[in-house]
Amino acid sequence: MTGVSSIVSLHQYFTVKRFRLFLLPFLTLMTFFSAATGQEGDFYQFLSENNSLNEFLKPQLSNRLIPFAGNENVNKKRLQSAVANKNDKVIVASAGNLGLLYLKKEDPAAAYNYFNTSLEAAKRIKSQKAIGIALLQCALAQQELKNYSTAISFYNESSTVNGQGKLPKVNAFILAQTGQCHVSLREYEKAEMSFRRAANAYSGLKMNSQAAVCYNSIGEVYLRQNDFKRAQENFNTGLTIIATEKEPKLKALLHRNLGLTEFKRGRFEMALEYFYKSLDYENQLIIHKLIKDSYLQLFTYFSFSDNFTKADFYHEKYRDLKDSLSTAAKKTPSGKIALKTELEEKERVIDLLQKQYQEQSLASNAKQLELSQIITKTDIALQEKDQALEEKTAEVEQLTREKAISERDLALKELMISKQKNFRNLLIILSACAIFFVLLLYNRYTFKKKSNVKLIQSNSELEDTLKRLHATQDQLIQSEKMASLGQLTAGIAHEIQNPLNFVNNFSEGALEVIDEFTATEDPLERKELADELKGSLSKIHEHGKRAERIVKSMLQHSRQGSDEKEIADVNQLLHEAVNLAYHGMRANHKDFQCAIEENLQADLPKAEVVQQDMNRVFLNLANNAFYAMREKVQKENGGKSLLKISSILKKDKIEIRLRDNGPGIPTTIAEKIFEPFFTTKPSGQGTALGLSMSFDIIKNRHQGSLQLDSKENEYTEFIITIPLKG
Amino acid sequence: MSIKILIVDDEKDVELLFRQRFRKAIREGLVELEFAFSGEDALGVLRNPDRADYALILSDINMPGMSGFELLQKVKIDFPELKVMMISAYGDDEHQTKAKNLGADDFITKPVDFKDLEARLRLYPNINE
Repeated sequence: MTGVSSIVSLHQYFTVKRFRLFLLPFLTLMTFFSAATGQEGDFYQFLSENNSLNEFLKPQLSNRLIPFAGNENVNKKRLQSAVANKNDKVIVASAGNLGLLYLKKEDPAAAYNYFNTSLEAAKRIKSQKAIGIALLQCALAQQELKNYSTAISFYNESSTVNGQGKLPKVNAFILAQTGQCHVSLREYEKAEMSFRRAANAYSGLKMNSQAAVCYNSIGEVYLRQNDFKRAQENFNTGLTIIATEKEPKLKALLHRNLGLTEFKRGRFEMALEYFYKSLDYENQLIIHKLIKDSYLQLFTYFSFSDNFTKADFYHEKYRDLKDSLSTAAKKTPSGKIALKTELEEKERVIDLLQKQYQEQSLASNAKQLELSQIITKTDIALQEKDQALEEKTAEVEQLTREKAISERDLALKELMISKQKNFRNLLIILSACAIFFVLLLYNRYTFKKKSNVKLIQSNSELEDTLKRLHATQDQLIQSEKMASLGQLTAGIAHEIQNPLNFVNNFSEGALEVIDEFTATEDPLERKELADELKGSLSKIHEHGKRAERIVKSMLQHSRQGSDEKEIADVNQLLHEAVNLAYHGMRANHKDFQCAIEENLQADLPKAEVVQQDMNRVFLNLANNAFYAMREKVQKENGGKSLLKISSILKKDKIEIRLRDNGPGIPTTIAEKIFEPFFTTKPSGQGTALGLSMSFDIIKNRHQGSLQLDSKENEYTEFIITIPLKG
Repeated sequence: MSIKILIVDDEKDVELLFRQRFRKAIREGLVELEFAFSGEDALGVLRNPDRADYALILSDINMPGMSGFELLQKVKIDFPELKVMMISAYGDDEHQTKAKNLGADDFITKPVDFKDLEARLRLYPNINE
């Protein structure tokens, strides 16, 4: 780069102006030189070497893309004398320079007038090169004036004058600018074509970064039209082209645009990835804000899809980022330039997301609504900021006009303007900060308010749910009892037949014995008959008791019952419960056979237990065992079922084991079996509460333990340990 | 002449009950009762050649290990001439039909009505004196 263009490439023209004061003598010399040679060399050389990427990225060609054109007054004097002398060559140069200066001063209308003067003079001297430059300059001014169609015709004309195949860099630049104009006119197809031609031209020139910028623009064109796939393709092409180049700004931009594509598509998590990457390349405030918006989106999305862990996660991230952004904003108030750049970026992002915004008025989707709110908010913020800027600008302009009348001395004037500018900047910074801060506060306030309301709402919902849950649980426990009772009733009925058989028949036999007793006088025979009678009666008593116990255990099972602990024979409870369960099973599945091997410690001390609860546990475990063993036999079409039950005293605790040779419990579900509502049975068979209730009874009511030991396809063993003294 | 009956039930008190209720018949030498407390036991007794002269088996259905039905099946294969009467607390059609299909000669339900049982036993030719 030459010395001149590297100064100009300091894109903060504010700084450039300051430089100008220091470099005035040197620059005047340069202008003199440029006046002598005409401006064409400078301008094209500048374009070729210095179409700086930053400028490229703006929607409109910025006034910053301008070679240094010298001092305004000097140029004006030269122009005056050249017009008087009809020196067209000098008119071309000085009018061109003045145009550039006015373009730089953001007065494109005045600039255009000078460029036009330059163009007419160029035509008079019939210099193709000068005409090409003047046309291009007119195009730039018209583009700045937002007369895009006019700008396009100037660009086309300039390109024609330059000639095909000549000045390839300049023509590529013209194509890219034409594309920008088409974008502004929303002529996407034309824009795409211009950008593509520019991209090809730059690729041919091995100007990879410029080509990548064009691909980025193509991608943006597609993104505007919601053609996400093509947008993504082009952004990625851009990234591929500059993969080996050091272009952090451009890489950041391409990643950001990939992120925006995902964002617009509603794939916020993927958008986040791209935004993070973009930050890796360049730390831009706008990206932080996009990330913040993504968090908010994800929070909303997960809240609506009831994934509260994720919702909380993103909400926290959102809040943290928001806080840190607002502290950062407080700490480093952005300068006017930074603010303006940021504003432009924001406008651009909003523009890229625009279509979705428009469609939102129709969509009822909550996610999209949220986005619309964000965009509306950003819009309002932008409008307010714009307004503030405009007001300040108007104010300063007013001041400038007044000053212009009263000020005579040029140096003093420059000095004053610079002071005013500083004052203006300060005002703008202060007001922008204030507005930004108020917006943040308001945003924060509404969000807090919203989330408070949500919190209260979900709290009361939770309470309701809890109440319902308790009620349902009670119902379920009762229905678990009734279900197992129903299953057992059939078993009980049959189980009672057995003792009844003895009671009926021994009593009938006893009557016969009495008849015989009265019929005989033989003392020996009488003694024999009396013994027999005694035997029968004791059997009647025994089996009567047996029937009583069966009925009792049934009643105990169904009763809501007392929770009082009583001294009980655990062996007997176990034996009866297992028998009852077996007969219950048999009543429902007549083909089911199972051997029961009892290994109960004969002198086992009685224990303090809640009888009906223990009964329920034994019944439950035995039922499950029978059910599982029957399934295995059915599945394997054979095999002998065996249930082993044992009891043993270990110190002051009783250990009871129920071991079946059923299919076993896979380790994968072994952890879950004690959870309420976990079941492997088909729905409708069982209430899925049996084991969790058993666990509760043993662990919480008896301070014991219920453990599982199982080997798949071999056995399942439940080990109950309960203390003797409850 | 007496007939030999094998009674199969897992409840031991059945022996006492049957001996008491058949006391007269036993005393008069009309009946001879043997007891087995499981299906497996019963098959062992039947396969003993010294005692292979049973005319009738009375078997419970629900027993641990070999069930009454399994015993019935085996008996009907190994000793087709042997009469088998099933006794069960489950008196429903399904049980009765299954017993019949497996070749049972009769079916009575618990509690056992001994008068009815005696009447049925008399129907067997060699019980009628």
